Amino acid sequence: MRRLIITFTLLLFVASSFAGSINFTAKCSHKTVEVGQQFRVTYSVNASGGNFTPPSFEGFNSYGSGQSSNTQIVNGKRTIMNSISYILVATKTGNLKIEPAVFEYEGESYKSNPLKVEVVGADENSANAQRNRQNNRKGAAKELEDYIFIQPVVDKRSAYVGESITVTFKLYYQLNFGQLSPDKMPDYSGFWSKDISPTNRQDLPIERINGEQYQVVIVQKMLLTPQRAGDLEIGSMELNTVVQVKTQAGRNMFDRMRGYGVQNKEVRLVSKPIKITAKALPNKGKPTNFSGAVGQFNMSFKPNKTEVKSNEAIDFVVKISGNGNLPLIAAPKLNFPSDFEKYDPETKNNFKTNAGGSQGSKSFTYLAIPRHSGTFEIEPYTFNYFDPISKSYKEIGHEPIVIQVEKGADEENVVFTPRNKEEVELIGTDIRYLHINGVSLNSSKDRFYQSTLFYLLILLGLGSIGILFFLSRKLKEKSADTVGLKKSKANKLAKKRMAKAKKHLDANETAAFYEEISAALFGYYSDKFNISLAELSQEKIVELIDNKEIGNELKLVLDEAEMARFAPSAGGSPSDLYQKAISVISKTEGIA
Amino acid sequence: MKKLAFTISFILILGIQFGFSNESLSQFQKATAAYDSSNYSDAIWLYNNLLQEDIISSDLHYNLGNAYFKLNDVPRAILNYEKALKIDPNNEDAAYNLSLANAKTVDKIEGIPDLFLYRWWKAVFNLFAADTWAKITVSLLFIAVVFFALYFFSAMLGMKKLGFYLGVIFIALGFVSWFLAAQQNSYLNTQQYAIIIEPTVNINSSPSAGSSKLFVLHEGTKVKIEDQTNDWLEVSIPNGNKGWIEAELLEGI
Repeated sequence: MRRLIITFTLLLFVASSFAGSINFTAKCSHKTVEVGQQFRVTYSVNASGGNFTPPSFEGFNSYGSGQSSNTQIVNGKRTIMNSISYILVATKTGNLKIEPAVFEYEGESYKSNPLKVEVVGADENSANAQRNRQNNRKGAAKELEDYIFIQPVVDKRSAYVGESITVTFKLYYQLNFGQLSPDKMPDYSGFWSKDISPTNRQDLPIERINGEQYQVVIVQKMLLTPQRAGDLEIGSMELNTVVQVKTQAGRNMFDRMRGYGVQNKEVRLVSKPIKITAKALPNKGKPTNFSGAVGQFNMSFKPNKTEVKSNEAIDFVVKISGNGNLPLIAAPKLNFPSDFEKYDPETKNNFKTNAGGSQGSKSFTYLAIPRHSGTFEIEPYTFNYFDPISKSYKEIGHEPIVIQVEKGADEENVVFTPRNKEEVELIGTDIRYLHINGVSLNSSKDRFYQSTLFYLLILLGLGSIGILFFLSRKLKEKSADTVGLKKSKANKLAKKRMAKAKKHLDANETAAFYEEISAALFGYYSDKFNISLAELSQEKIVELIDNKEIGNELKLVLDEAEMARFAPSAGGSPSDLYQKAISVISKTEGIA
Repeated sequence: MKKLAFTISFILILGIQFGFSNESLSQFQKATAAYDSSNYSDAIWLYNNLLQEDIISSDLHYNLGNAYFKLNDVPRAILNYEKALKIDPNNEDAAYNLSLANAKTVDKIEGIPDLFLYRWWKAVFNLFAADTWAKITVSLLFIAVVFFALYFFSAMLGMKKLGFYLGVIFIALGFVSWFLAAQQNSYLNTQQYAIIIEPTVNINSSPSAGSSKLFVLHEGTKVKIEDQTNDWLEVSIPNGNKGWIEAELLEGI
């Protein structure tokens, strides 16, 4: 490392008049520098004379210094400002510190403020770095490529898909050159590209690179728009040209005049490719129907008329104006009512493309023809775009458009004309005439169905069936009662006849009981059929009863009573017999 | 018997026709005159006035439909022809004029006709108006009463049997006729179909203006009402497509 320590003594002749405090400051031209990039550090003091000791500039190479002095008289007061500056080049990366410089004045020493410089890695494509590399490689010896070279310069190295980038191919030269013949134009694959080179040769101000002065001219200027996300590359440009080189021989003026001292040399100029990072548009907030527009835009959507007759054409114009990738905006898809006949839009471009992108407007004209009358609302169309400045999606809508379609002349025909359908056979017919006779003009207020009268009649009908049923039941009940009365009378009679038998049964006089059963039964039938006991026999009774069941029952009872009289152990219990005898009499009474 | 006398007097009361007022008649005649002098708007106004008085008349709707047709208001003409046919399916002139009006509409939708069983059923309950069915109901009921009386009180077994069976049959017929009256009444009073009145309407996928549009229908098209919310109706067209439409854009038949 080369260290340069400079001490300097300033003139003393103004020192005597100086009064006041000493202000000693340090200033740096850049806060952030690349390795190999030149920058300037300036120390200023408002005093003359004194000793200045610069710091060691560790981590930097110092390329000489310059002094300046500035004297001002304001309100009779003289101000002196002396400054010294150093051109520095950083040799390593990191946050480097420049130590304070020391200024000794009238026996006192002052320190300047320390400086901080952030040194970043060299951008491999920057002009400085390229020069440095070439210098390092070739040492101090200058070659032809140091006198003339192409340098592509981009305005940004990362852009969103759809955002514009400008790349300028600059030709730096120290030698005169001839016709530039392109050998290979850069490859812009992945970009939409548009040549925006100035039409006339445009010389740029002289630039200094590594202390050398170069003249600069623009070879090509392109507007690029990344079409896909990822790492894209702007390819290298290759040019062939001829330069004039001074030769060692013939250094005198005469040689040069004869052309001896100058030699034409062919040279091939190759630019370095540049990497561009194309960022994908953020997914956050991305509209589903994103138009692909990137930039700042405005949109208007207007029909040329809102009241038409059917079958009259309407122009709907969508105008998108602003700054961005206008050439890439496709015609928006508009939804017209299905009754509208619509045609493909006509596109009109009215924009200029320059370094900042495309500016102006693009309009799409849609022709639509309403085929039927009615009120139609055109579905709102929302134009959306990505604004790379605010890094967000934006939408522009419009007021709803209502189209009033009146019936056209061809729809106002009152005479019957069929549309283009099958009903052709009905041509020339008209509707049938009014019904004027026998028209019923009954009001539904007087309707019978569901009226109170209707329900009353229904109730009456059903009710009378019920009443009739009830009455017939009563009649039947009455006739059923006479039978019941007869039965109870017969029972009573039987019990009366058997009263004696019951007495004997209760007194347990079995023989007398059996005797009385037979006597009672014979007595009953004698009375019943009005036949004297002498004439009455068992057979005669059965015959007169004329009922097999009762006859059999009677036979059993009489037989059992007869048997029991002579053989008391035989037969059932006396009380059973008593019941049976009563039942026979009751039944006999029942059938008669 | 006393009861029989009552029954007969009731049947006689039913037979009396309800007369209509002279005022209605004169309005009707005025409307006819207006129609004849091509003053169709006046005719429409008069016919509508009559309909305001709850007059249910196929002919009145037919005449109103004719007046609308003459004014080239095709959807309202169709609406009234359809109403006329609804009240009286045998109104042949209404059917004819409806076919002419339908030829002027835009939408042509191929549809499937009603199931034949339903057509037959409709033909049965459309035989008479609800009122007539109601009168038949009451008459049948009273005839049944007579037969039941025979069943309840006759001493002869044969007459008893005859009275019972005929009584049951007539009471059953009475209820069938009552049911037909109810059918006819609900058919007239519920609006199952509607006609689109506005020239062009959107059919949406749900009952809100912002929902997506499914298809477009034009004036005069007949749609079936499937469902309804506050201001929206779900309608279907004969080819099976369904959707929601604002209720004010159409009018029920």
